[in-house]
Amino acid sequence: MKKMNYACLYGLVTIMSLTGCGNGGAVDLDNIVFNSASLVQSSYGGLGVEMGVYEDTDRLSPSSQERIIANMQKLNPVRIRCMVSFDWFVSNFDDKGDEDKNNDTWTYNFANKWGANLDLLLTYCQENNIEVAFGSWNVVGTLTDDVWNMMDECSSDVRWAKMNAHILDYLVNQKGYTCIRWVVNGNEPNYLGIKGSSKNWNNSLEKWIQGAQNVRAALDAKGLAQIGIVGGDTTGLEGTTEYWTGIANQIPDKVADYGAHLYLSNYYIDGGLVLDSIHELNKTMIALDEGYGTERPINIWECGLLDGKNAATDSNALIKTVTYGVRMADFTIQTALGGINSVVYWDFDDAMHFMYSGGVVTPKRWGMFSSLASDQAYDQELRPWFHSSALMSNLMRPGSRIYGSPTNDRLINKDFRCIGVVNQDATAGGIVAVNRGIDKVTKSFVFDEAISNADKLYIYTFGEGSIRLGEDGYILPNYVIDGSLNKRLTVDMAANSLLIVTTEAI
Amino acid sequence: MNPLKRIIPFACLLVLLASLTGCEPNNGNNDEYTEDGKLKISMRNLYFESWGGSDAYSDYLKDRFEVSITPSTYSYNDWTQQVSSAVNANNLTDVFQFNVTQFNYASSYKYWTEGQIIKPLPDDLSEWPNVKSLIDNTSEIESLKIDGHIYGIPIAKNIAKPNVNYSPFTYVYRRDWAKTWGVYQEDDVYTWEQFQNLVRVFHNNLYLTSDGSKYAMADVEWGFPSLTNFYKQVPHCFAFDSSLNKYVGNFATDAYVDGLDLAKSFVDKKYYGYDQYNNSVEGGARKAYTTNKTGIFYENLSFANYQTIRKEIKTANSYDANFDVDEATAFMKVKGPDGKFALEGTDNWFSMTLFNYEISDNKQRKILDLLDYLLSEEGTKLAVYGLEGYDYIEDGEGNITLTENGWPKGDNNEYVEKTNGAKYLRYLATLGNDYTSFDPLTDQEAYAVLNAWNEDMDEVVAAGNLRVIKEREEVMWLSTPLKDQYESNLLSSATAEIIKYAYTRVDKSSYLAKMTGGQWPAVLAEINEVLGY
Repeated sequence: MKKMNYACLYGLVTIMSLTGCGNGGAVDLDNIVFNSASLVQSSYGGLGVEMGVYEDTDRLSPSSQERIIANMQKLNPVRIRCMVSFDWFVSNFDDKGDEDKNNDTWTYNFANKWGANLDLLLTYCQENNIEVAFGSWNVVGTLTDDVWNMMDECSSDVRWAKMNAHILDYLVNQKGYTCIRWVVNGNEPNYLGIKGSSKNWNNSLEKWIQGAQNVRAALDAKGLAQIGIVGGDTTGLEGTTEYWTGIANQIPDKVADYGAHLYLSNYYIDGGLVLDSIHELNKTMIALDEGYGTERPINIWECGLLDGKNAATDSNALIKTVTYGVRMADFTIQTALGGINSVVYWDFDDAMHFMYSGGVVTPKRWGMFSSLASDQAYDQELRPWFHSSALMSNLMRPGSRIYGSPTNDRLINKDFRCIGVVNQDATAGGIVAVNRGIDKVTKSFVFDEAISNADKLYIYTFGEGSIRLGEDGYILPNYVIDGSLNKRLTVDMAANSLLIVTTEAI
Repeated sequence: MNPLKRIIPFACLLVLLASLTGCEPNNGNNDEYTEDGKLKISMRNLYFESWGGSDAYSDYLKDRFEVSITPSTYSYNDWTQQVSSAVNANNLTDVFQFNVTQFNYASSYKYWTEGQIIKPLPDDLSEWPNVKSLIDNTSEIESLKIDGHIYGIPIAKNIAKPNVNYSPFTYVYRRDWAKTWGVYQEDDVYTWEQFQNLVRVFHNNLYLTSDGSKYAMADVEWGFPSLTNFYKQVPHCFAFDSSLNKYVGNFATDAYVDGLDLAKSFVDKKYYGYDQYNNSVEGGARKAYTTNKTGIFYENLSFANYQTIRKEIKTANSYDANFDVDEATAFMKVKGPDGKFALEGTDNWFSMTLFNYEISDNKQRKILDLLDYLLSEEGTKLAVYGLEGYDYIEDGEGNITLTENGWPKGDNNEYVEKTNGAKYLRYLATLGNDYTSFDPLTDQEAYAVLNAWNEDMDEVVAAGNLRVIKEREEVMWLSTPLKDQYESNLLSSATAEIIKYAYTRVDKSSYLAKMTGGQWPAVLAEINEVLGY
């Protein structure tokens, strides 16, 4: 059952006004106090990662599978997004020789490698209390010689809802995967592509809305009212605005959240402009839907950096750099400050998704590591952003309170941003801060809210040459000190670096 | 009150309203705006494939020009069909791109002007000086004017070098092998005899020492047989016979047949070892070259293609520590039997950006504003470098320094790709070859080689030693009923017959009968009559 996060909504309005005015009063840029006046979110949703069903397990060795489990445990995501192709599971299509799609029949078969891998993944999630957003990338059919003809109507096709309901019923009611909390009504419905290359070419907001209504009704009929529909799952700010406003105007009661994918230019992240964009969007949405940000939280279901993207291979050339980790952390800070309740990173492991082009199969190198046994060592090893993501994921747990600071106003200082985190029962917490400037800075932090039974501070300075790794390959704190977040802590931050302070080591 | 008195004023009002409505001009104003007041514009372009429409640079343009752009793209192989479908379904985007050529000019561009499918540019382009300059410098621009108007923007290949009239359709070859086998000539310049000797030696060392899987030369599938370049006067259908003082079918001329016979002999001798007969889809011949199966490859060596060839051949030879990509991808300069170099002629533009007839004048002006800016020095810097202050810094003397934030490097210590919408939008007006030399993403080694070849060819042109193979403008863009109807078919049929003859599927008399019969006489007669020959 969803909590009504009224404080979160309040925070949205307050932060927007603070940022918009540039806060004329003097702000102490070097001494940050996380107090109730700067509370941004009262119940954070947590961080997650995109997982796939490892489309070809022939490429994974037993040691690879061990590494996957170990890395998942270290990352400790609270949720994952897992997308499949329903084409893998449906066959024996019979259109009965007429135009009526309502009487079409087909069979389901989950006894294949994708079904088996999905079982493994969902079992892991179920056993480890990881929530799952699940869906099919697109409607069923092939780009050439298609017999299904679902691409005309996309998710508004009556069969789409039937398939979703059947498959979710199988997974949740029959197999017991109650970890599935959301269904995705098609990936990035606003990114059309071209006919012949994209199944989404003929999609539209109207079709998506109709589809969401159909899916909602079908899920309810199967006793799956607890599974929410991701509101949009759109990509980019413009397309997201279009869909979200449409949802708010037409079917707010049919969706569980407002969900989007954001892949932004470095320029936006480095200058703190992501937060501005989120505030603009929030302003628009609050005016349309009073449940925006509360009853319907704002979630990012995919994110990464746009710069460095290789469109041909759907990889990112900067994925192994330390700065990728710093930027993703900066992005995460800005989204948290903007009231976004949860962020899911694209993606966990190169081996999960492939590009199939011209008969050549290429892994999409956009993960935190590669588990492919055939890959070179430098591709297999954990990338810096795994470590920064693991730190944040273990710190920013569900139910946490997120504090901002007047120092986050980019009109005052565009190079520094920070959040304070206190867990739900105030027994642990931490700080996530970025220095995006070219000079070292010294900052001090203190929390007003009492955090009990936390008398050690683990300090991680994440930057070029400063990441400490243990023999197991996982990150170690640079310093461990006796102390408390309720006592002022002063830390030097190198240029272009991330600082994470926690009361519990990961 | 008398009811008629009430009716009459109302009737007058109706009449007044009706007359006003009847007089109001249809300015095609279907402009839509976003909630924040930006004019919505839909654009479709072949080069938008990798652009989602949303990044810091396109957002800068959208804010500056108050537009909201929805991009979409074409797949190259289905481009014509996708445009045709959109035209037929009345589903064109506001701006679209089509490969206007002399073969489809009448059935597309000209036909669309008559059918009010495409909107003309304003006659006075002085408000957009950069667009005007591009148009003024477009080769054969008069041929694209219909009733004095131009109905789109010919996409310039290189606005910095508009006077280049030769194409880069030429040979890349294994200089390393030529040196090893003792047939290399200095500066890669070969006389006709030296070239044929090289081909023979390559054949001896490749084909004769393999199971036939290696061979001397291959042409890109659309370019076979390249050897005819050294003989023929024009690349396509209509050659001018000075002795007869009229146009004749090119493929039956003595010059063309001489070249074709040489190509046929090369096929018979297996010098041409790639199966040009069965392979019509591009890719195989290039792959043969980049995987060390052939030593000479004829291709459109645009910078993009040349860069790709270098990359692929480097990858294929990555096991060889001594592999030298420059030696493996040299430009071969061949003088034909007449002692001159020969290159196919080309216009300085490729395809056109066309405006949907339905768009308002306001929308067209906005698009022209945007393009004019992107063609300016400032706009070019945005497209190439990004945002000043973040991506680059410029000093008082115009020196550009790229910032680390704006231009990070990847594992190979090269700048990584940037999604820059300004660069994509600039493709609506130009292919961007003007900035190749200073684009951080340019492979400068590859560029140096291509640029050196260009400089060599410029010198050759200046010395009068380059024979440019090109149809006369008067016939190339001529639109007559039979030419419009049959030219495309004549060309495709001829191409098929040429390949059949080269591979001895038909004899010479059958070939010549095809090249002089059918619709050829009627089309030629009409052309000559219209042009006064």
